Amino acid sequence: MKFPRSGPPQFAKSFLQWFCKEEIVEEITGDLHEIWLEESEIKGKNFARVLYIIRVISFCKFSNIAFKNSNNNLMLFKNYILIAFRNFIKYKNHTSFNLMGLVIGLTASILMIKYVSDELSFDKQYNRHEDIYRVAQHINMETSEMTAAISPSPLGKTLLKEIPEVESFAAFSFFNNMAILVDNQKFFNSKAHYVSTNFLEIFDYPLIKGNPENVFSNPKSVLISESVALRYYGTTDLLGKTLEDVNAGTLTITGIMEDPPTNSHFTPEILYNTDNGIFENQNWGDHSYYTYIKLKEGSDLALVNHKLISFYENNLQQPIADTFGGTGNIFLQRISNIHLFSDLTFEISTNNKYRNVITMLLLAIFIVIVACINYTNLATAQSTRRVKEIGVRKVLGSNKKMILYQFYTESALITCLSAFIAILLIPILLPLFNSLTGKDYALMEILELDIMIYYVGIILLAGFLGAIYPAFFLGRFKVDEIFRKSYNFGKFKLPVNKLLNAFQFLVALVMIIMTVTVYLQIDFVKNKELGFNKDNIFKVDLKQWPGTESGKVIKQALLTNPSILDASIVRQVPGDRIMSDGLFFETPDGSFSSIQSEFNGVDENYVNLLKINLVAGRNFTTQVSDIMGKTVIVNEKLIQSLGYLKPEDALGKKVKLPLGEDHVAKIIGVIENVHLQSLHNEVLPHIMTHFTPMGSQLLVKVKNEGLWSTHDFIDNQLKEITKSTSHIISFLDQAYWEQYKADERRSEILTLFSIIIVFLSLAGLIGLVSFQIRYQAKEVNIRKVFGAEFYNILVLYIKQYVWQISIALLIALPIAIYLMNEWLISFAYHIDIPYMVLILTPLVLVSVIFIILAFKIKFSFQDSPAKYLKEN
Amino acid sequence: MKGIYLGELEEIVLLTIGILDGQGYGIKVQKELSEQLNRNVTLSALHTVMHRLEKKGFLSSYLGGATKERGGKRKRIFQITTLGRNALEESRGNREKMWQLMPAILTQNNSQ
Repeated sequence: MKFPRSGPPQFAKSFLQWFCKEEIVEEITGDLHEIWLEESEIKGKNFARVLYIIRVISFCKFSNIAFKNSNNNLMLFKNYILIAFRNFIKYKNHTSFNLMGLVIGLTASILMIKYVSDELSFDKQYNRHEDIYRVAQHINMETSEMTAAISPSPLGKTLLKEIPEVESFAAFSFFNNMAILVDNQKFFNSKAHYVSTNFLEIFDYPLIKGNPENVFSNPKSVLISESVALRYYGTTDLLGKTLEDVNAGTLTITGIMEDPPTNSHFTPEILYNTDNGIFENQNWGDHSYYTYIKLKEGSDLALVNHKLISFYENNLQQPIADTFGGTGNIFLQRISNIHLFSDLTFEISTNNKYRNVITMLLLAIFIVIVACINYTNLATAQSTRRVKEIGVRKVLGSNKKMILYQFYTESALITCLSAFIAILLIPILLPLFNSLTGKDYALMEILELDIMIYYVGIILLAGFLGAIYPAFFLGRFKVDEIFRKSYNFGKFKLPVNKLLNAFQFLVALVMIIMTVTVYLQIDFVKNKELGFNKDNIFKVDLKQWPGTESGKVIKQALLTNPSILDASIVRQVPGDRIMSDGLFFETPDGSFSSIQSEFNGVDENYVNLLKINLVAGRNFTTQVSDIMGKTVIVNEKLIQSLGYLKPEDALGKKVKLPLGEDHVAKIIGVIENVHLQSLHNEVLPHIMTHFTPMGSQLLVKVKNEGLWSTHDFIDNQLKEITKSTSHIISFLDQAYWEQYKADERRSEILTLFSIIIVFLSLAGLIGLVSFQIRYQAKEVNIRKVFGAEFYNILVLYIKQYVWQISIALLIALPIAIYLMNEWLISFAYHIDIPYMVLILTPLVLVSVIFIILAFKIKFSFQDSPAKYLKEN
Repeated sequence: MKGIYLGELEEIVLLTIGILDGQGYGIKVQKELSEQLNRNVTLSALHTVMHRLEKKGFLSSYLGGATKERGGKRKRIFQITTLGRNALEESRGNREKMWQLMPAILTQNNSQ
């Protein structure tokens, strides 16, 4: 019988025919063939082959397996399993040691693989995602530069018109807080964007209701996500209904989309279009939109990039020069690269870094390696107990290959067992893992089929790696050597095992040093003098600017409570990302120069409320000139960059503000350099006016006592005055600390991983040492008989470990210094490399190892020498 | 003991093989099951059940013709035996008896 080349997988078929009982093998093979033929037509050849393999495995059950005496291999295999189990039970300590290591390694790696594969899967859900790009721009200004994810509104349409490779475009607005009225109740949604008509050509979210062709064909249409529909209206049956927005007016619901997947940098909830034709106009100065384009299939990216240069010159050069006073360029970012590779100004959401993902992956790999090394070390040590068994097997005709198979069987058994336990552990560890990574995985997501393939890979690899050395180690002994009475077990020098030990030591060392460094830096960040006081301050997000009069009323109403010390309405509070702008300042020689500076709007209470130090000049007052924005307060950094020697010199100098045509203000005060942003960033030139339109943040300084009753008082007052419940009250110091969340998370993960690795390494070391001591007990006792003291013996052992520890140290320290440095320089303000840690960590680790060694030796040293010398 | 008891899956498989009337083999039974009851049973589970039923004597089987779709392998065709038919009748009888009791109990409860 001749089969076509692309038949069912031959190895699976052979496997089936090998294990299966003869009387049923034919029908099963036939059935599987028939179903395979059918499925390969419906679902494709490869898929059918996979299903074939799965079915073959599902037939692998006890009732189908042929345990016939005639099958020699199977008999041996059965014997291997039997002996393996007897050994597992006989050496319970050893087995549980092994299991524990592998379980920890596998659990950690299963979870990490989920994390890594999730991070790598971002933004791949769109049709032909590899052809979708975001258009970003880079702008050079006189004193600064900016690379931003945003672009002007006509960009998409013009690109489509002028560059033939562009197939379609989608543009949508910057963050847009939407206030939706449902039954006279106001709901705020910060994931609302207004979009260009052809938005769905690129972001092809599946629609539950509505037709993707004409969702946005009429102006004032709105597409909402399923969860928004359910949250606000309790149903998805909403087509043709209207949605009231305070700003955009009445919008007609024309579609309901599935919730965008969470593994995307852009997860909108409400998408609508307006009737003002924003994406059709020629206003190249309004840079507050995101533009995405899809290239035609097979377009030459290099060619498109080249065309973008002349495109920029024709369309954008002049507007950029007018708006920013500089030059620039535009470039494309592939949509699936944004999440891990893009860190621009005005990103839609906080992106991760590719480096972080790789670090995670490496940590997972290291844990598996350390676990495998443990397995190898323990298995080698263990196998020496079984030299005689191997000898007997050889006498009975086993060859090297068979010994190898035996050890593979054992290792496969123990890895499968630990994989099983690991999978049982995952539901328990999932909440911890979710909180560490900031993700929200469901159990079923972790155990998905496509990820399962990796787990199986890891398990096979671990099993293989763990067994390979012990098998060769034992396989190479000659039979006569094994049975010769004078056989000297002391010959086991185990160079490979010691090398592996050294590697573990190295990894553990680097991990501990890194963890301690991260802790020290975070501690430094926590305790660093920031230049302002953020304690006992409530931060209230009013969502909307209350207006000057209303603002006054709010402040006065709050100050009636004796527990409230001060209140201030500002545009941005410490910890917020402060918009920066290229502003023109008067220099000492009277000319004007542009400096990129953070521009905040505050009121007269702000400086005192935060206890910011004024080094020169005065604070704002309620005078008209202050309120109209004719005065500014700047920080020392700014006047230094302008070239003033003393803060006083800058007082009265002029600044051009973007508050209207020829709006000039003068500097009335200079504050210290205050860390309003995280210590990752350098303190930037900073400028404040008393002009607070759009200031929607309320800061309330309160007394330490009765915080919660004050909180309720604020809440009630605001409800009464603003007639709205949308404000959010939080603590300023907590909000400020949010900036370090990623760092804190990293330190938690590092801590967890280093505990695991250190624990595993020490466990492995104990295993190896105890083995060595057991087999050198005779030698030790002979020395004892000749008068050796305990410490003589200890020194003898320590000598054996000194060289591996030194080599590990020599390699570990430079690696640790390099990694520490890499991480620390991501902070503009950081600690010096903590050399004490570099010295103390190895010292502590080495002492722990030697203490373990001493205890173990003490153990065998206590007994009477006769006990050991009697043995053959 | 072993011969009398019919499990739920066993009963359904037995019925399906009865319906197929001398044409039933692995895949065919599986398809019939999913068509009639919308129930998906894996092939390996089905095989186990059918062979167990044969051991119990409810089914008998023979190897039928080889076809090209089966890669030249013959199929095992199952037929329901008299013992199997009796077991089905008995189980059906038992159920009907139980069903007749059901409304009686309910009416009693209502009248109280």
